[in-house]
Amino acid sequence: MTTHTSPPDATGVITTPRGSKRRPASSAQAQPRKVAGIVALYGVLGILILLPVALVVLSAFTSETPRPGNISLSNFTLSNFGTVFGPGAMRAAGNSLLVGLGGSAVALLCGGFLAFVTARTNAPARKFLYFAGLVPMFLPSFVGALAWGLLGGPNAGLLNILARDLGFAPFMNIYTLPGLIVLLGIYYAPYAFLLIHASFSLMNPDLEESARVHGATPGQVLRRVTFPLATPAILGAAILIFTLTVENFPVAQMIGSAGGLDTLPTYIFRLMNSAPSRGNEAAAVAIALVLVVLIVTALQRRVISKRTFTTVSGKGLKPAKVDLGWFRVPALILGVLYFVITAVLPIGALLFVAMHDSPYVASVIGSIQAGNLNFNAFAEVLTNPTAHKATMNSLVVSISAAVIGTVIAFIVSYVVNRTRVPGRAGLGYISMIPLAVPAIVLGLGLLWTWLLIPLPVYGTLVVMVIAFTAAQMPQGFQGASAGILQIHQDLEDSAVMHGANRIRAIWRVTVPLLRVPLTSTFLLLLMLSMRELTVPLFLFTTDTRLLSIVIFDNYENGILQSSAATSVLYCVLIFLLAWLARRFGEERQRTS
Amino acid sequence: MTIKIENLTLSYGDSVAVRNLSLEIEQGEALVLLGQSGCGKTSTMRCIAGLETPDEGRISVDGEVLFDADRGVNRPSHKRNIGMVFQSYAIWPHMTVFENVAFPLRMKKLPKAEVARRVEEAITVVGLDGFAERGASMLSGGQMQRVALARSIVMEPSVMLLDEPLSNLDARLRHRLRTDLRELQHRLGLTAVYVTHDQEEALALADHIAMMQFGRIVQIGRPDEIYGRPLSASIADFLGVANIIPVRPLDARSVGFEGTDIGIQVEPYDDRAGELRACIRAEDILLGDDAPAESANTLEGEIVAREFLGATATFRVRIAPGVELDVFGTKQQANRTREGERVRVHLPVEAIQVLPTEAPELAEHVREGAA
Repeated sequence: MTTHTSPPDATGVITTPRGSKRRPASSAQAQPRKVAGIVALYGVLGILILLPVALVVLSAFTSETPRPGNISLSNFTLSNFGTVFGPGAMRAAGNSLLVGLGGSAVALLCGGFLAFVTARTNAPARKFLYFAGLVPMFLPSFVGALAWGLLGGPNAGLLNILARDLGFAPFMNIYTLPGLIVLLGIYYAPYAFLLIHASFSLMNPDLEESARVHGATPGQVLRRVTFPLATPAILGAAILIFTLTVENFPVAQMIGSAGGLDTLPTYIFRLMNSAPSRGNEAAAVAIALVLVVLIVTALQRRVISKRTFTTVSGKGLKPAKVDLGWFRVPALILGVLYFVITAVLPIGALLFVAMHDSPYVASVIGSIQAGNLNFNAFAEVLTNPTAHKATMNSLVVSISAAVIGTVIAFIVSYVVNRTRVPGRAGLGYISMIPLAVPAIVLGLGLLWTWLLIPLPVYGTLVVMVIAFTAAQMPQGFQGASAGILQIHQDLEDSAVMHGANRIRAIWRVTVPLLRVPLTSTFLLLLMLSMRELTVPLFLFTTDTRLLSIVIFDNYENGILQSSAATSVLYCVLIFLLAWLARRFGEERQRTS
Repeated sequence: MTIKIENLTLSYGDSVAVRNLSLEIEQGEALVLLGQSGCGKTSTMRCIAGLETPDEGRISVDGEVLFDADRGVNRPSHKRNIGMVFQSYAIWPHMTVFENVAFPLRMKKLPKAEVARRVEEAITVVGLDGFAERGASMLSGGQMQRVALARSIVMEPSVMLLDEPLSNLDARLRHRLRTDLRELQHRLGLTAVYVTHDQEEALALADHIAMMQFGRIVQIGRPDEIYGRPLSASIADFLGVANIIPVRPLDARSVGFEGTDIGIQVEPYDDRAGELRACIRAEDILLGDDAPAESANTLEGEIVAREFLGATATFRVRIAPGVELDVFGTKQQANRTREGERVRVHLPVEAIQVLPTEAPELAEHVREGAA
């Protein structure tokens, strides 16, 4: 019944002459469409990300900033880099370095301490301490800076007024380098907290127990096994926080510049805002800043690739708790102190200033006793057309950017992770570039790009949407990729085998299965857009101001009451979004 | 539905997954591609499915060309009408059993009533009556496999591809579903191609087995032929032959164990194929009193290990330094003997196969690669 191409007892290989070694004709057939698709994707990412970066580089080496009809490579110059080595930029660079190092140290100390206490000890109220570790995340850093500006100003700061009320001398000035370092440190501490907490709580208890069995005391176990195992997480967090603090613009501007301190981002901002604008020099300084970030990022990759300890047990085993002994209560007190500094005082200050009946506070205790507090400022903000417009702008821009960003991120991650189109890997690399480019530099590049491109988008909300989409490409790409990699390729191939074409298979199978991860990516992008201040800073006009920009502007112009009231409402909005995102995260864990 | 594969070659960059492979599968036949992981069996199957694009070759079903590198023909997977059961089953968790099975029919835009009728039929055929409205994520492994089968059967495919269909199930279930699968394939007259690395599964499921190594088919035949007459020592090894001993040719009917003076009689063999191995299954060797005392192939050795397995026992017997034989025995023998004792073993002439280490074509390729 069966005839094989060879007798069953002999070998099944039919020795036919080998074909020539050319590429198959078959794949050439489907190729043009794939090539067109990938070229289009490169086009989109090129305009979104590469062109802005290229224009910054170009400006750094020429004497004119890019304008329509004026873009040439002929007037090449290195003179812009004179500014980089000038006294102003060198001082700013020095400050940046101090801020980066100091900020990371403070963040690691706070975050690492809370992580250890909550993950591995018997401290009381660990749930509260865990919450305290996360809280600063819900406060955009510039709102924290605004609040601490209100609290710690040398004369009118509420803490100093309170001290005077109580008969003490004014004791603090936040507008100093230490003030800036501590502020950045505590607002980036949640990153350290999360990374180190994960490392501590996922540690395989076998590793520690075997140290105990082999004769180590609990203290020795901590020193010789537990902490060394957590070093990759600690180092990773340190470097991440270093780059984040070095490139942070809002806090440096609101706290540092008020005290006459420049960091590299604020220096770039000042060069751009001087009259006449010194864009080419700003670009040169921007390049120096990017280089610093790139070097540190490269360092991070090396450190992390060299030392990956697989500590994840995957068995759901709970690591043992360390007995803190007499230190249990002090540990809790330190946590409460951190919570007061990062959350209670700032939010209290924002509420107090927003509700106080006049912009001038003579005595904190006096005002509270006299009942000089009301909700007029909130009513003012809620009825004020400028605030309305800014809120609408923020929502429209953030939602559009999040939708568009999620869609592009999904397409790019699909092509990178699921196809074999030549050149797909490059799309992934381009998507990750904004991570290494500080927001202020990207904003600069986006400004020049959309001045140059002959489309009537500059000065509209469209350019804001484009800017946010570009800036958040890395987070979108990572979120979508993580989702796609969780879904087995077979599920989609199976739909193709059963009669669906590829697009239909994606639409009927892959996209529905990715509903939860794509929704959380969308919410993440939405939240990031709502919080973003720096990227749109060069792009907004009076008609396209966002909530974050209104708060920043009012603060810079000394309209503190309105700024504080807007911030409070802004925080409520962001907290709602965060809550929504978290609920989705939980659902995601349940379903997977 | 005759499937014809001619001169198929598939490479990923520099590594060649399938080289110049030709194969024909008849209507209603079950062919198993058997081999170790990385031998190219799954790649071959994915080429038939259209999920990989081969570099060279031709694939046709009943004379209809699905793929031809020379003519630039490459019909997309969704137009091939080939059913496939994935190793992971790939049951869509966001759909019910009914929706999963109805998918191929809905893609063909068939009328609702017909979809319902045929889905019902398919679900009954695989024995899942009453499960239609169950969410697919609520199914057990065995049920998922049935849904995957129903989903492919419902489209009346020209051929069914099954990629390691039993590997995700526990041992007992695997045994039962293997029989069910064989029965279903016969009843529906399905042409089926299986991929597996499990020799027992291959022997049970196949009408013919194609043994694959290094991207080639090295032996093809009925299960009993493959089991009884492997073409090379490495195939024998894969098929569970316990004793594979290096030998040197003495004359046309005898060989000597390498490194010893011991010679044994064997059936005529081909001594031109380079290095030789004597391949003997553990169950074919006679032990102790079962071994005839006065015979050319009766040897004496020392028991170095004993494993009591309940109904049976295995022994390891050292014939000479460096030459050890694994032998099946009875539980009584296990009770009677001790490590260190000397025993007789007899190697029946017809149970010994003297084989080259690699199949001739493969040996040629290995030499090519080395050059």
